[in-house]
Amino acid sequence: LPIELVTLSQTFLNGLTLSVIYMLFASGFTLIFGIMGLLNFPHGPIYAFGAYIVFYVMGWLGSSLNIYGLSIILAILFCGLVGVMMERFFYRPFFGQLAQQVSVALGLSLIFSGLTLVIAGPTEKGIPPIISGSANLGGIYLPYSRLIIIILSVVIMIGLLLLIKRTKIGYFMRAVTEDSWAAQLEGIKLTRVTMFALGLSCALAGFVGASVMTLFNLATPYMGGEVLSIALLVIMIGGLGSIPGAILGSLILGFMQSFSQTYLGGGAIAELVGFILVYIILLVRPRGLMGHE
Amino acid sequence: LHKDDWGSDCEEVIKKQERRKKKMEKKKLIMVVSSLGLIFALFAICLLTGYKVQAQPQPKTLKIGEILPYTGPASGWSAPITRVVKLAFEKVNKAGGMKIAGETYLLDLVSTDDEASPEKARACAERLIFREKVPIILGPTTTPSTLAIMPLAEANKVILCISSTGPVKFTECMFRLSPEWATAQSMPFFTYIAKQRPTLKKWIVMSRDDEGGRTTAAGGASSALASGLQVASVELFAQGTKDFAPTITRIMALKPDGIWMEATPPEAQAFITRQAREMGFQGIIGSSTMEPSTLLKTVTNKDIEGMMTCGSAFGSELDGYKADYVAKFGEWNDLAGKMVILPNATLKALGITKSLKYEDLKYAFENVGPIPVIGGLAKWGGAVRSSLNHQALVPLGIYECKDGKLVGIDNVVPSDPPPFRTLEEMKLK
Repeated sequence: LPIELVTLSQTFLNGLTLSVIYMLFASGFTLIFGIMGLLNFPHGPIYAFGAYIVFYVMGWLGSSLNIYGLSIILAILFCGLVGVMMERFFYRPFFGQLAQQVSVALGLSLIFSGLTLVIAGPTEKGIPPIISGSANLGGIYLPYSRLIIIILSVVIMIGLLLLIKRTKIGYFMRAVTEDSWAAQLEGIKLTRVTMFALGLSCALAGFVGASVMTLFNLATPYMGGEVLSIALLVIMIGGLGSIPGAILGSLILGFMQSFSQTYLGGGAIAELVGFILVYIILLVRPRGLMGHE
Repeated sequence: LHKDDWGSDCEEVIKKQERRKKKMEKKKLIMVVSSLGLIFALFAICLLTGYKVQAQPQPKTLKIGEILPYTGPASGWSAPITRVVKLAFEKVNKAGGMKIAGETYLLDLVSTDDEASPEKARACAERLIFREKVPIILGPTTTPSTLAIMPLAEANKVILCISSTGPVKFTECMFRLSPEWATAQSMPFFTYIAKQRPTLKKWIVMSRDDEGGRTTAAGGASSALASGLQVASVELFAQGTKDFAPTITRIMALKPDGIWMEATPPEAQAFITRQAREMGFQGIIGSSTMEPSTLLKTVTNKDIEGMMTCGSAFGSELDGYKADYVAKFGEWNDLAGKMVILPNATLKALGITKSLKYEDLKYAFENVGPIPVIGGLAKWGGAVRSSLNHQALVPLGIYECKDGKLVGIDNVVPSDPPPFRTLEEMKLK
């Protein structure tokens, strides 16, 4: 294939990988905003928990694809449980008091980051490549690790959308997102919905943290903060609280970053792209592309 | 209580109260006497021990400050640097301290974490200068932090032993006690490539998009050009980047023979190497600093094969130092070998200074003479590039990764860095 076409296709694949990672992380983050009206800051450190679980499990049991699969499941379960506990013991006592909940969220985020730092130490923790090699499609290289991330993420995203659109709990979540008081009047137990949503959201964060270990192989105590700032950009583009908005925002940001880095060069310019985009979108449509009034 | 009102029983009560009163007074007296006795005893003990301390003079303690990014994006560089210093200071303290200007001192390293942030670095420097009153600060190792604390050190007359890439121009109080990162490693590397592997003509230079990164990228590019090689592009990336696939896609379109990573943090080296190989890059990948090699080896696995770097000069001296280092810290990091200059120059300067005053210390550093390091003797240079001869010129070696191990292929005699040219001056940005 001509080099221009190879570069274009490769850039598209890179953008797709970035987008699906952002998509999963931002969906969980925006889900909580939709239901609880809360920016769940511990989402970042919980994402790092997922990565560290992979590091420790593979350190103890050895590095193989099966162990990696097991560590992903453990990450999902552990992070989901952390989400449930957070709702029950930290957010519920301050139900209806947004300022207090935001303070608690910030506090929990700091505590979780500090715990990671204390337990795992400040240096990066690396694991050997779990899935290596790539498919060569006429000069376009698709690493298998990225291919698996894309497939897994798409499957999970479809599952999440089906859960929200087609199941009873999804119906409850949508109802609470629309109007929590009306939902309560209809007999929906708000605490159960928030507990489930927070568990689900944190499980998603844990999954993303664990799955990116196959791409980057490194867990660092600060990885949560980096991805959290991207999630904020994504949900501001897509609209706060909207899962379809998070999907759209992730695709826009992922592709924009990939194309700008390839065609304009990396560095500070590529970093700025996301912020410029958010600025323009907020200027034109302050509630984001798919956000409600 | 009155007798008329309460009868004879009241008399008994009054007597009892009086007896109790007397007893209380006695108790009080005993308490006061015993307290005074205790205070006197304590005073006597203090006097006696004080006398003993005076009789057996203990060495004084000299606090030396250290500012390194123990946490944050450049944390990978801190452990080897501080370990090298600790190892040297421990040796001195075990021997009973060192003579500085006629008095014996134990060395106390006061470590602070700047998290590679200029604001935090300034706070660390303020603590070290005003609270700890250190005469010397070792570090920082990142350029933005160095730039942030330079005026503070200059104004308060504290010696700054930096190991960062920048600034290009030195101030009077500043000494770079590390190789001159911008060209010290890239020049021997590209000279070797031009001579030994002449088919590898077209190179990409990568570095961080910040002051230090741009300086080293410019150094790397100028070294390649000076060696008769071609620089297809200089790629700068934001600190903390994990996904290099878009940049590598851009690089692949230029069809280079090699990628040279300048001052690239260890985790970024791992990402670049692995992702470049996954995306089909088959040329040489080189790095000015390949550390910590354990992390790089773990993350890149087989992709590390063939990687080249410029490390500390190899030979029996390095092997001996490595053994001591590993015995103490359990792992080796090549940066440690290059950083031996930091404690060695500091200790040698402290050994010859007339006092701990700034002027005397500065004079001692400037006139320290050849400094023993791994692979020979280091000396001062850098006036052409940095206006003052405050740059340590350290012997280095070129390595290649074979069967997962770094194998030394050529030792290099250090030379004075050439005048600095920016990327813009070379029309590479």
